[in-house]
Amino acid sequence: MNVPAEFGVRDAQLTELVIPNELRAAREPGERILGELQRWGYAPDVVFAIKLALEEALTNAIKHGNRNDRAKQVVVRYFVDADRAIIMVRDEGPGFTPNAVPDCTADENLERPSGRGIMLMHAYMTRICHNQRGNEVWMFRDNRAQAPGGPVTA
Amino acid sequence: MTTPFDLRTRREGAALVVTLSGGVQIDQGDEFQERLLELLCGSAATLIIDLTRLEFMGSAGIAAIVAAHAKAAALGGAVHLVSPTAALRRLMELLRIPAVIPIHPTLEAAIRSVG
Repeated sequence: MNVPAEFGVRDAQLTELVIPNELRAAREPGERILGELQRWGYAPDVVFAIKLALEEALTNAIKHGNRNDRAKQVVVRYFVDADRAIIMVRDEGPGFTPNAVPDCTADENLERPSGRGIMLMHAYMTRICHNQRGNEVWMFRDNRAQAPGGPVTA
Repeated sequence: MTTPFDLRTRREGAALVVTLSGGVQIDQGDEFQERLLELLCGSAATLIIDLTRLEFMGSAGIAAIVAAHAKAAALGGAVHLVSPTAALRRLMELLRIPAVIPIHPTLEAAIRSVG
């Protein structure tokens, strides 16, 4: 899947990283993207939002998509400028149906050990979309977007 | 960049005060959970987790705290949270964590509540 047209960049503008399917290896794309956000002067609350969404996407890809299979890989593509951050995470798994994920904020699910990542990605990014197979997520964050990932008052 | 999390403990009556700093990194969720659950294997059934200096955690960190809450409850104790940053409080409110785990504004208030 190419970058969604409404994200406003061309495929060739994205930087691509391929990492082994290990959580430790997932630190590298995080550090690179956070470095870009800081270079462009993103506010701390927006950096928090993007870091959170990225970690949830990478964790989902490694644990659920690739099922902790160390022989598999995760592809990360990203673009950051002053106005927006765009991140794609793709695993080699069979994909999933986003709408089939239970609501983690329902009373009966509050104490479940997992299932919060998708909800958080939607909450903290401006736009999320998946490919048809469900093994690739595109996340768009408008640098000027407000809550819940927007400005935080102490 | 946020440094990996650091965890220190001290006894406060029947409870254990757990002071966190740094951030729970993407590959530290399991370790964070194991450390919290280990604390509940000792003599304390109640944890007061001071989040004042914790800069970051994602859903893996939240899941670890929820797991500690479940284990503490099974032992007849509880988990109490103290003073998360505004960003972490917002995250927990979004996930409705305060509906199951109390969040106190200060360490003193948390200690008084378990008194």
